[in-house]
Amino acid sequence: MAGSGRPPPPAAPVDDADAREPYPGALPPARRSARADAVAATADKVRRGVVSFLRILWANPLSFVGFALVVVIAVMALLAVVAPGLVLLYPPNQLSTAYHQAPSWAHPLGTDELGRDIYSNVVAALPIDLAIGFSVAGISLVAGGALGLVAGYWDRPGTLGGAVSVTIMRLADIFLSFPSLVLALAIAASIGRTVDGAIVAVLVTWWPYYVRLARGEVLSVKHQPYVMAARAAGVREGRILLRHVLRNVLEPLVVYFTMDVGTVIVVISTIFYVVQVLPYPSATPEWGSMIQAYQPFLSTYPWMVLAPGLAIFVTVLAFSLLGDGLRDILDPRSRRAQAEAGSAMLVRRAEE
Amino acid sequence: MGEPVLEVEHLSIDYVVGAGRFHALTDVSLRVDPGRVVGIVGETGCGKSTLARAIPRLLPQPPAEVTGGRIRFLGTDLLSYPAWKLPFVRGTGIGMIFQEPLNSLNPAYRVYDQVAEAIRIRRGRDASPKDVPRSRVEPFDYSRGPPPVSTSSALAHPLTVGGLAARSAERAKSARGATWDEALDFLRLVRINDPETILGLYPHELSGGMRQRIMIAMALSGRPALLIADEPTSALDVTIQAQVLTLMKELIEEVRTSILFITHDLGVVAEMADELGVMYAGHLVEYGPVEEVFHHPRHPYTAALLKSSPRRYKADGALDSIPGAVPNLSRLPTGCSFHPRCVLARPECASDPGPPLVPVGTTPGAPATHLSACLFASDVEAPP
Repeated sequence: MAGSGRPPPPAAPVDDADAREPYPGALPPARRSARADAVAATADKVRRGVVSFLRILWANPLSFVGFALVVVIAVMALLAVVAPGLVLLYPPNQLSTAYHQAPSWAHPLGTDELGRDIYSNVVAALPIDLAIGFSVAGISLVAGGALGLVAGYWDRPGTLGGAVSVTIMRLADIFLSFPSLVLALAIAASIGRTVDGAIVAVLVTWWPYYVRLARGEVLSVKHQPYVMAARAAGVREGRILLRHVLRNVLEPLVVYFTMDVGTVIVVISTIFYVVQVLPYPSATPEWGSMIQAYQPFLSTYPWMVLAPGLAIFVTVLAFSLLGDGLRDILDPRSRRAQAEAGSAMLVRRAEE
Repeated sequence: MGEPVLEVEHLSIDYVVGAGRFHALTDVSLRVDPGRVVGIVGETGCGKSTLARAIPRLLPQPPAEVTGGRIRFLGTDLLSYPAWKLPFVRGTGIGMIFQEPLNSLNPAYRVYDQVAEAIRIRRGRDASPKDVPRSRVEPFDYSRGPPPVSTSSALAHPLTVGGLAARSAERAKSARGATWDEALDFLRLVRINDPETILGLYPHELSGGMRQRIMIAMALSGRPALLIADEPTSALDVTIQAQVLTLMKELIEEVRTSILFITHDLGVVAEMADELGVMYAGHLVEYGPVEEVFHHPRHPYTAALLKSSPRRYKADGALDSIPGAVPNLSRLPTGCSFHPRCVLARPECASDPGPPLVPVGTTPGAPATHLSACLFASDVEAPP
């Protein structure tokens, strides 16, 4: 097996690992305090989890790239908030006399018509775009996912649950019947030019997708024999939904969520581009507004508009690739590392 | 014998699909006494699984519709039982083994989590008993005593932050330890080698026979008064079937749980059951001690079924079969539903639905518990 080169994982029940002799005549294990044991067991669990996580990522190079990109993006966003001096070359929006410079060592992505360093502004825009992407997708995941779970699980016509289910689904259908970008733009424009308004506008159009996805998955999972087996074992309905159904619909939902973060960033940039929520020379730079501001220079200084565009592209790509990798990690059947560990253990037992 | 564990009285169930109405069960009555194994045989689609699922009220309604009858479990009528209390009957009162071992375990959890769930459900009900029917006798002959109460190490750890953390970790470990040990016991009970390893695996890493053993262990870990096995071996390979059947036969010896064993395999019931019911098109057509039914069938369908069993005419090469086809359950024949295919059919069979199950009693020495639903039960010839 592929796992043979690595040190074999410890036996599954860590509880009595000390009680067994590793091999005949082995010295008794050194006595440790219960506290050290507990700490060591926890550390061991964490270590094994991280190792299997990395191993699965490593098996699929593209998802590893996505994971690495997301880590880099997240660290840069964090540093841009906590310690801007470490990732920004200049304070955001700092004016200078170096107008329209081409990319160079001093200005990796060039400068704009007011002499601002484009690289610094693109990185300074990272936290707000990422925060909006995560909050919109996250709220949609929780709210839409919960509504979809309920609508899918209690959907028998003629009962209270059936009425609730129909109400939820028709409401979602109403929102889905509009092109979401157009609806979001209209709502954002009518609420006014605020960041919160833009977030609400996207949220309003975003949750129905999660309702639909969750409901569809629940509909297929709830008729699985293991759900009836759980019911026959005396598990109550609420617990069946939260333990047996939710766990099996979580994987497509989380994968969709991860890929969706990128999509939300595209849509929110579009809204900022069109509605001018943060007109560019503002305190917080934003990619959509930057593209809008740099658009007139597309033919003369193309690198200006290219920079925020590339930032959006790379971010979306990173989350899509990571989503693909997550599918492998979350599905127990494709947990190759786990299966490997299990079979390696069986082989070892057989040898003993 | 005492109070019966399960009494099904004149149970009728229809499936309403669109405008159609399918009579899945018609006037089925049976009784399971404590510690007895009752087998139900019949062709595919004769209502066996409907019966199995109707007893713990697992049939989704609609499409299913109970049109009459009663299901009494330990004296309580389950059909008029409040729906919110039903989960408390399942698992600890009535356990079930399904025919799809491949999908009956949740793919997302390790074996331990699933066995532990069943154990914890029972513990919870032991700790705070609800007013629901449960068996009063210990259905199990436990060779091992209860897990020893772990001695608290509270005195060993002074009240420091680290001591508190260690104590809570130890408490979690011992709580898990007791459940873990009990899960190991149940896995050993179903003859699983190396249960420590198996508990840590996911269902997809196990073979079908292993999964069915674990399903059996889970059903038994609720210590039910009645175990319903719905074709537990149909989805398995023949060799694995034999292993699982051997296991179940051994368990029947060890466990005092009453069992309702549903199958389409005559050979299986012959080895397992004390009493045997034969179903045809939603009707229970014959019921009696397994020896009697096998050696002196008193319904032409049972006789035909026995005659078409492969093991009898191996030498000739040709197998007997019952002429005709199973009737459509939405348009059952008038009179006796078996008469179009029956060799003994007479004109009155087409109009007279025949008696409900009545004692045969014509054969000298036949026990009064042998029942048949045929007008001409005494004319049925036993196959050679």
